[in-house]
Amino acid sequence: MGRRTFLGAAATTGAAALAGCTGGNSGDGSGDGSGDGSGGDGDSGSGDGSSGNAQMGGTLQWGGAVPVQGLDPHIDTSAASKRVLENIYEEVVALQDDYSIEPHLAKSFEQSEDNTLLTFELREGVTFHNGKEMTSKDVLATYERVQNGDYLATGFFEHVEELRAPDDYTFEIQLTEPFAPFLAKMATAELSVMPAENAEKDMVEEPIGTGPYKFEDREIETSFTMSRYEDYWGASDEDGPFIDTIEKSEVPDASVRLQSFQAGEYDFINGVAPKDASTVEQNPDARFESQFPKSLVYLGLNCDREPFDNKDARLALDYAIDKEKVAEAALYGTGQTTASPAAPGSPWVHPDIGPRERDLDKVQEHLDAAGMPDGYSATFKIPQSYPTQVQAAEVIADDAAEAGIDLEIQQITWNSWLSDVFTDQNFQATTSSYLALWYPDVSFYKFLHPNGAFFFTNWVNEDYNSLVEEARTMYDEDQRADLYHQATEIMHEERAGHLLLWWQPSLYAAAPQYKGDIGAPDGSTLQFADNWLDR
Amino acid sequence: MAVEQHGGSEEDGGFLSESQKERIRAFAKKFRSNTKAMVGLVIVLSLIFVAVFAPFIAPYEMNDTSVEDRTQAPSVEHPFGTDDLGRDIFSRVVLGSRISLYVGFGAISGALLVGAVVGVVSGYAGGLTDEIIMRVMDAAMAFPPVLLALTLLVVLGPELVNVIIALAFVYTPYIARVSRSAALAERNEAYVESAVARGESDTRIVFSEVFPNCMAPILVQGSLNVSFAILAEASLSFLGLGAQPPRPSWGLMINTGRGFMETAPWMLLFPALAIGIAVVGFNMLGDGLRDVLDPKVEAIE
Repeated sequence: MGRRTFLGAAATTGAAALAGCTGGNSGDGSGDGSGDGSGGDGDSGSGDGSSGNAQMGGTLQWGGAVPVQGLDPHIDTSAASKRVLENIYEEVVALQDDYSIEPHLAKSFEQSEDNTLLTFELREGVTFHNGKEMTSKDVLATYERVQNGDYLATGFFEHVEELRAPDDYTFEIQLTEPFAPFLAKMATAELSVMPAENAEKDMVEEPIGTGPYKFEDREIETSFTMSRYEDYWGASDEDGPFIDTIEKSEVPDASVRLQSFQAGEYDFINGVAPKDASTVEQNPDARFESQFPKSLVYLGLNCDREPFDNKDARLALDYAIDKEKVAEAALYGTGQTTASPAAPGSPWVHPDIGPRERDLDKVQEHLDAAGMPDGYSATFKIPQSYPTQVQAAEVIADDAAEAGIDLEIQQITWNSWLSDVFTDQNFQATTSSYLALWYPDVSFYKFLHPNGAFFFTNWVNEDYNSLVEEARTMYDEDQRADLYHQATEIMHEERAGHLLLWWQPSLYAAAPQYKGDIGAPDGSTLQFADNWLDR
Repeated sequence: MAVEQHGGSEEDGGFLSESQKERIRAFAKKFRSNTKAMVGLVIVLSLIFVAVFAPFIAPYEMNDTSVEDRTQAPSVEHPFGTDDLGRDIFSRVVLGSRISLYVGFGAISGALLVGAVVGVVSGYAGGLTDEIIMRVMDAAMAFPPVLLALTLLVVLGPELVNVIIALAFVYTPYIARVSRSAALAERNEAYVESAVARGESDTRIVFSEVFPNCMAPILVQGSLNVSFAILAEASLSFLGLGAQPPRPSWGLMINTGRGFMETAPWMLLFPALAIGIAVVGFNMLGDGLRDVLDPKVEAIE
């Protein structure tokens, strides 16, 4: 049974990156700002005061939304896996709350004048969970693994000329040409540092990293346990880690999760349904936290198939939908509509382009232009495990029906979404989401450029492509922003296959004795190091 | 010969002879005195009435979303409250009766058509034919109905028509078994022997003589199975494989309502009540029919 099922599982979880999370591509050496838009709701910083009298010990009972999938950070991008692996593995550089990138396992890093040589001076005294010290050999082995294998970040190594480890604590990357997204990529789990002996394996099943928590035990689809790593290099009285054991119970059903939390079974749950947000907020015995933005939800239109191969048909649908109403229906006021895939508040967002207002006259105009004056019909495949998207789809279908466009909803499982919609592109319209879009290259390249890892709506525009390609080689924020603004205009004018619906936050509920900041800078994972239990 | 044939076709054509009228009167009398059957009939008839006149009874459009009016408690304006998208639950429950009855009757008509023919033929033929057909039916019955329907729907795709096909397939063996046992009993009756002696063809004997005499237990089984089919449709829709949103299937409404159990229990309560009433109605009708028509045969559930 071993190998085949194992590979199957890997394939599924790998693809789950999509909606589960595009965890990956990220950050930028040039320190793109936008701290406000992202850190959002007092997540960052709210715990500062309380960590002064932080307490050691205790077991955190966590009711988790989606079961942990694969445990190899270079392969698996499901958000659920990332939430735990974020605490087990670390990277050479790390993303900060303001979306800047700082050295992490490195003490410092330098970038050559022409931006093609990256030199990292690694920290001394960092040990893996197996007790061995981390040296440049491990880092090199990790990067070579990804470079030579077939992993999520492998495509980024096209721009790498050479990886070098001149001495035990120096690591160098020679790029063939300036390639801004590389440093950001380095801050993601797709380039987590693992011991050299693990890096030789095709698939790591027992994670060994340098992080504040070490992997203890898991029961697939049931629970996942991590414990505090005593010899963590970064341990301190201020920043933890404090909690002894973190025990995640897998509770996929949102209502069950919330009820168990209210009954006191868990100290903390993630994935609170938007409809329950106000219930939790009004509960005096619970701490409600939201981190914005978590994910971008879109309406995907297959531009290779009728009727959406016609730009006017797409525009007609765009004009038929009242996005504010749709977002309100699904998110109960916790989200925000958008016309740009860049993180809200970041300089990459085009200041003047917003979602199209509903306008039935315009709908008719475009239907006429498309040669379908009586409207058209299309199937609308919705992953049923996302109730917010099902709610949204019903409102969208209602709006569209009034405009003469018949969208026939089909609820499908997440696995059939991955195989039918994403892999086989056998769909007309669908909805889904992307996570962790804090780095503009992810927002504009990964699913909108034909070479991007998540490209599936078949919308191709040469002008757009050359703009986002050029942006990858630029380090100047203003110049890049200008290119991304132009790209946004094209997307909007040409009605790209991704009709963006809204940004939604991560919603958490916690017991009052659970202290510290909840969440991680990327908006979708969790960092427990500076959290503690007051009891 | 010719005269007999003439008489036969007259019977088929529905011209009632005195004795048939007499039998119907006796049946009606027994039926009326059976409380279960009468309650069942009243419920079923009112359901059919509601379904037929649904658009006139429902005060609102069933798919009209209005986010501002979401999850309102029952009031004069919205007697059953509103759901998470502000749609009127009363209207949706009323229109949902169409889906339930459509699937219930559709699936069981299909099952009756196939199952009764297969069962009666197999019962009359006996021997190897009977063995083969009935073992296949047994095999199909070995799977739990909802599970089998679920598997079929995964292959066919989640659409209401497919739900009917899947459920018709699932309930065929149940009908076939009952029909077969009825046919087995009829086969040894004197009228069959005399028909054989007259030299009538097997086809004619099976369809014009044995078949009509097996109708009673088949109808009983059919009406009972309608309630199971309604329940199965609700279960399938609940699981996301039956009716697709925004269709107001009761099962689908319960699935959505589940998440609002604490904040808006009416979203769950009214569709659940509707399913309960419909199922009880068809069950009582079936049970009553059995008491009246055919006290000997135990319907298979």
